Amino acid sequence: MTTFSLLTAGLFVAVHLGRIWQIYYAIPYPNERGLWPNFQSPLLWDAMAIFTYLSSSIIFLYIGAIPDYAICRDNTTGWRKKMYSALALGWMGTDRQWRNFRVTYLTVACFLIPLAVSVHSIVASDFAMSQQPGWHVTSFPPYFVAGALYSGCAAIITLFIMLRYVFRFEEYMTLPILDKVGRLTFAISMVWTYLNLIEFASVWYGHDMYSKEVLLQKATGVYAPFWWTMLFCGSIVPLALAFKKLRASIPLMLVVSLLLNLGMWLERWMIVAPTYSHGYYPWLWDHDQWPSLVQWGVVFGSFGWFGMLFMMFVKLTPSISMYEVKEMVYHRTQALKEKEA
Amino acid sequence: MIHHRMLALFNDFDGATNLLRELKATSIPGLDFDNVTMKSPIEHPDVEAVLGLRPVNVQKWTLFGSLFGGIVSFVLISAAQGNFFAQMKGGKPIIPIPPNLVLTYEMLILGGVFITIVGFLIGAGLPVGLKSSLYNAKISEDQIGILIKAEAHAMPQIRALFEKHRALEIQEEVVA
Repeated sequence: MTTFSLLTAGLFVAVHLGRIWQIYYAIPYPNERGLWPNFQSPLLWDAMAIFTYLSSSIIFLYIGAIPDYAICRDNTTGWRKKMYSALALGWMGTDRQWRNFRVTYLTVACFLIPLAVSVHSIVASDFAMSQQPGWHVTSFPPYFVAGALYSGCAAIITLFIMLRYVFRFEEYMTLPILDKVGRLTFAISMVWTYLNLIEFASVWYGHDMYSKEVLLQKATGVYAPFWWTMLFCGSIVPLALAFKKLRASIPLMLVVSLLLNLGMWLERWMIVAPTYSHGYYPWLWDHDQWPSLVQWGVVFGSFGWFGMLFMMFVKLTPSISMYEVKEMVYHRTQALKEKEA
Repeated sequence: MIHHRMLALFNDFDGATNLLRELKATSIPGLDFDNVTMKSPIEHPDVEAVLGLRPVNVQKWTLFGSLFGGIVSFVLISAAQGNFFAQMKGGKPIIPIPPNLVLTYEMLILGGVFITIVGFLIGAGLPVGLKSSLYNAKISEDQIGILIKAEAHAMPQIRALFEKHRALEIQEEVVA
């Protein structure tokens, strides 16, 4: 999910240029055209952070799947066998390979956790380091990290239920796992709510009239329905996850996760659009940032692009780690044997 | 000296572990215990412990990669800033430390991840052709393989041990 989301986000840089060939002039590296990277700009940090995050996520995804590719290689024929043979790199499951695999997988995972925090903090810095009202907020980095975790958890619940239904993964994607993800989502939603309240309180009790104006516009202006829907979906709906009975209901979890996804999508929109339409320039105040048909097309195109990549991945590669399931089964069997003995 | 390779498949880890313990305890002429390899569908540290200490050097690669990524990126970025004379600094530092630290942090992680993978590939001996060693597709399903490389005259004794521990299947090949 991370990998495909990042691929989609990366594509948006080109899409938003309008004239896609101009991307050549936007890539920041010292060159004969006199362009020079501004190393002090969060936009450059962002480009480097996202590149690091994307490449590390792809590596993590791939390395973790090597033993599974070997299983696929040994059980397929034709072009699939060729593809999995190339991906498996000749994995034979030797003790030497497993020892190195174990350490590598853990090491890359340890790198990814601080990396995820830094990437979202840097994206938040793109906004927070500007002087724009509504963006110049100290709590933005943790707010973005919480938002990313929150929307990630909500998307996991949605895809978890869909894969469970489509591929009949009931034996692997069990209800206790869904319950734990539900609890985690509830906890993160409360952190997100708290950070929202901090932002509102610091703007409200601060002395920056422009920021206050943007906040008032969000609450009472043309964006009010979306802003209140965001708060309802992001802060009120997840309260349902506090109840065990509700977490055990798959249809309800699906509805809740879709509402959370909607809330988190509105959150991003509410970060960007109100500041544009009620910033420091009065001549923009009557220009409400309502997406055009083309922009809606880009949005839904991105959903389709992500969906296509995800479905292709699920179709062509093991979407559940087979060797981890085998390990789980082995250890459970051993524990049962010990209990009986 | 002509060496042979023999691969035996076992139904479970217990059978493979018992065999490894006996192999370790029995001194078979022409067999070096370091040439005994286990092939399994899942990782099993307990059985790997029977094989003895076989060091993993991935962490050293990680340390090197992180330091390399961090130091090189800081030096390169600072050198670029120091050489960009066309930009008016206006009293601001030529090499600003806080922004450079952000980029150094990212490149430290990138270097660490990339070089860790190089270390993994070298440490695990990948990529490798399946024909380079005896292999059976049943290993990736649920069986445990014990692969032994030894001198030709040690093979009958090793085969006898495999049979004693109820190996499901035995393969043998001559290695030049």
